[in-house]
Amino acid sequence: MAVILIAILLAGWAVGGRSAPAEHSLAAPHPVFLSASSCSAAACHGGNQLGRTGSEYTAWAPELGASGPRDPHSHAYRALFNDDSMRIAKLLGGGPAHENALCLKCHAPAGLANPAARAEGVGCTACHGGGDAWLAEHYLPTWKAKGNREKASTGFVPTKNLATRVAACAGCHVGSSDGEVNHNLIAAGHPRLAFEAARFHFQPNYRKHWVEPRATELGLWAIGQAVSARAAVQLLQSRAERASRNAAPWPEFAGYGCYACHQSLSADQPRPGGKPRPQWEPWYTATLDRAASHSATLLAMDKPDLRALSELKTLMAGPNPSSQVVTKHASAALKELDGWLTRMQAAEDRTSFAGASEEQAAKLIRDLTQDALIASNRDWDCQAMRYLGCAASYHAAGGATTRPDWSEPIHDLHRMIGSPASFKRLAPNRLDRALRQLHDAAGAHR
Amino acid sequence: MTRPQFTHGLGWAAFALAVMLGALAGPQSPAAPLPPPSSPHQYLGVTQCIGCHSFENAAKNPGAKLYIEAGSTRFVRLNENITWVSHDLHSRAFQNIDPARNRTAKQMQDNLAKARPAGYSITAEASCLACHASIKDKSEPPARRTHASFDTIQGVSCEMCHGYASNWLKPHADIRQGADGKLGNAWREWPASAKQAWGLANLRDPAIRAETCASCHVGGAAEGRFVTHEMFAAGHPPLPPFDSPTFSRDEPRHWGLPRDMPLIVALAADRPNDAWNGFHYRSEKGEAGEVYAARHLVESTVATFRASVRHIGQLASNGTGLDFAAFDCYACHHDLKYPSPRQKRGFAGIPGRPTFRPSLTALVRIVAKNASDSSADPLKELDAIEAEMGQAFALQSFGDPAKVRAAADKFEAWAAAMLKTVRSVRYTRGKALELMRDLAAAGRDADQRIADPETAQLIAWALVTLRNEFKETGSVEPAGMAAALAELDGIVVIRVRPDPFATKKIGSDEAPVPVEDRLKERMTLLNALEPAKFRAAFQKLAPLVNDFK
Repeated sequence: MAVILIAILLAGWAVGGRSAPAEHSLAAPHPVFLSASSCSAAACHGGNQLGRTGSEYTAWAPELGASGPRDPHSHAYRALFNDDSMRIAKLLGGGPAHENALCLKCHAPAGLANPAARAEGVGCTACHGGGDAWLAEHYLPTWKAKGNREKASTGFVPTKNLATRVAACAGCHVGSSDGEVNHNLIAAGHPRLAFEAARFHFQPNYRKHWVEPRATELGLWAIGQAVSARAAVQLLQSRAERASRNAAPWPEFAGYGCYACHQSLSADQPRPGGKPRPQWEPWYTATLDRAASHSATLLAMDKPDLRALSELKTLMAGPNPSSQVVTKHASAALKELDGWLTRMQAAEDRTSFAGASEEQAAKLIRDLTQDALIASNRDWDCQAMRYLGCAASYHAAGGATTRPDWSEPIHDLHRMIGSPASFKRLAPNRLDRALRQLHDAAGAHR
Repeated sequence: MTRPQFTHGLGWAAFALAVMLGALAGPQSPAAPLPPPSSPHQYLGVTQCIGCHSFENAAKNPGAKLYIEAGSTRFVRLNENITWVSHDLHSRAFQNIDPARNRTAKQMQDNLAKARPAGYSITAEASCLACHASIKDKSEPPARRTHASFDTIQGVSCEMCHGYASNWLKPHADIRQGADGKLGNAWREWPASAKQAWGLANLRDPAIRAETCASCHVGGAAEGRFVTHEMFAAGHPPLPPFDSPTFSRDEPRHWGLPRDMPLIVALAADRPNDAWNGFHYRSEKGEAGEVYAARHLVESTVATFRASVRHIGQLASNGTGLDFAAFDCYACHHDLKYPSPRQKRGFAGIPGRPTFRPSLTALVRIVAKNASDSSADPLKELDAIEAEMGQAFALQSFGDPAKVRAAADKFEAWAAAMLKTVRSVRYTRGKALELMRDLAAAGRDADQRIADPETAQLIAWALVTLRNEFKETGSVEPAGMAAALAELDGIVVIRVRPDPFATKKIGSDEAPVPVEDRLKERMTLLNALEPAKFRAAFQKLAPLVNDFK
């Protein structure tokens, strides 16, 4: 009982009063004032030896003129000066992007309160937590002895816990109650957000400042599904609340699948295989149910109940959803997702739950390819999410070395679904053929 | 039952007034019109019209002798029904929704049936028939219509545009010997208002004509005429922006232009007031003569605008929120890409918030500015209402119906006042030339609105309307004009129906050309509109228009 109380108190502190009954916060960190330069001492994290412990800052920091993979977080503030940002700011009004709080929230989180910290972009504290309470202690031997929950009580974000880490990503990459990419911003030229934790972690042009075993990819995928859906529901709830006060348009277009509406009217354009009405967040919900089953197998637990979320989806796909009703339904869906996430987070604290057997990966591929062949919604968002789940499974199972028979159809699918533009030009039977090939390969024994 | 236009008492008062006005007009005035009928205007059907209006060649047909002697061909052609039934797509309106004959109809039938009870048929669906067949009784509330409320035999037939004929059928064909011993028909020279009281619509009035067309070609929600987003999604072809002169030009014309009709020309010369009141026509001759196409263009533009905003207001009043079809199609229906030309182009309102079609005010603002003397700026009010309408659409996703309604009402009042203004303007050749120059300048200096394909389309059409008229009535156009227009032809659509008389006759076995085949090229062109090319074409056209004599 005491443990639960403490957890609730801690969570309450960490997310500014919002209920998040997780072991440690699942909300995005709130950086205060530290900037990257504090961490970059050669003896600390600026060791200048890429790939080595102690050189995290070196990996993150941009070298001038360097080419090859890099960490885009360190460029986030600079991006606010490029042509796109200038145009977006001009179209939306509200002053230059590099001074606009809406932009700074994600492009220079520490720089919001401290202008001197803007230049670092998304610096260390943006993900690892702000405040000097943990800084003072984190290099002492006592720190290592602490559990994640204890560390979190100092304002530190224990990013080794994948659930906690991905929750930190989702604050910007999905959105949060106080920072979002809405449809106005997208129309003005901001890329849409389409976060998928496994893909973001393992994209080849992202220079990580930590080592991530490829085997964790499937766990990251499942955790990412739950975290992203939670962030999307929370964002929806905050939009609904604001709409109820007439402080935001409702329903927010950015919460719907793009291709429900954005179809070319040319007669020769094939219609994307979507539903007749706009669906709420197909990107974050298309594979959620499969992720729930998969995580239940991994954790040997009952499949998480996602009924409230499914009701919320139905509600949002109907005509004129009421913002008040949505606010209420979102609370129920959040509770459901928190139940699921807390269990995954706790499992992560005990031991990494990320490893998956080859058969588990094969089962997921079979499920996802089957969905891709027969699901009622087969627009790009849904098919891309199904493909990403398959790709994570393929990599987690060892890739081409272990499963050369999966390699060809996976790469075919990547070429076909890799971008909305290639998807649009695609003859449906070609896609189905590759899906069937992968489905059959995943059913076959090596 | 159709209600009569006037109550009985009021009808007599109007009659008395007309008699007095007639007396004032001088000794040459025709016999006073008959008092309006007390019976309601009722639908008769096309069979009542074909007896007189189906002479292939009246001059050579002994059956038409009486009409020719009575001077009928001085203002009608008597072959109207042949043109209409052989070439006019209106006569095919019902056939085109028959799934057995038309693959677009089949596709729509299949798609719409999915969400409806078994046995659903679009050929019996009142919301389709409202525009694709003839409504037997327009006073019946649209919600109560069944397939029995419609006559489908010749699609959109005569009375849908000309008015229910039960009352006017007899007087309009009443040939008798006059005091001078000649055969004639007094009806012809009745004022249009008197004919209207008998149920005949004055389609020579461009505003009345445009609003009649707009009822289907734009939509009239209160009349049950509205292509919903569901219909479009099921496969209904997109409705192009409506422009009365262009659509009239490319319709196989079953009527004569006023200048081709001796009776109207003579009336305009001898009794200008009667020509205006009877046919909404002013002589084209002399310094003060009017350019007919200019009058048609300005009045129909204002009237189409009025019909459009009225329709939007009606859509906002139905209690279920605005249908997606009330919005600008291209706000959503565009390719998603980075970088996108949309961001380069800019936005008229808030980026990311779909609004009404930007072409809504495109032409009317050019016409209004041209019509007004410099002392008053009618655009100031128009801009203010437009901004209000923009907010009503954008501040709440899918629009705030109450605010949309309020802005639509203001637009409508503005349009009514503007119609009065343009009626008071005399569209001499000088004034019409000025309007053509304004149109050319609008295309040349195109602001961000021109990135909207419908706006580009309308400006091009209006310019072509005036240019063709000048050319046909003796103006010498500068060299290079034809070439410059040919260039524009590949950027926007110039002809709605390039060859209106080429349609196969209904009696032939040949199936009509499927609408998707006709529209494919056009939609591709519109979707790929390149504003820079459009502006460049107008940069060539504008100086040529300035040199027009």
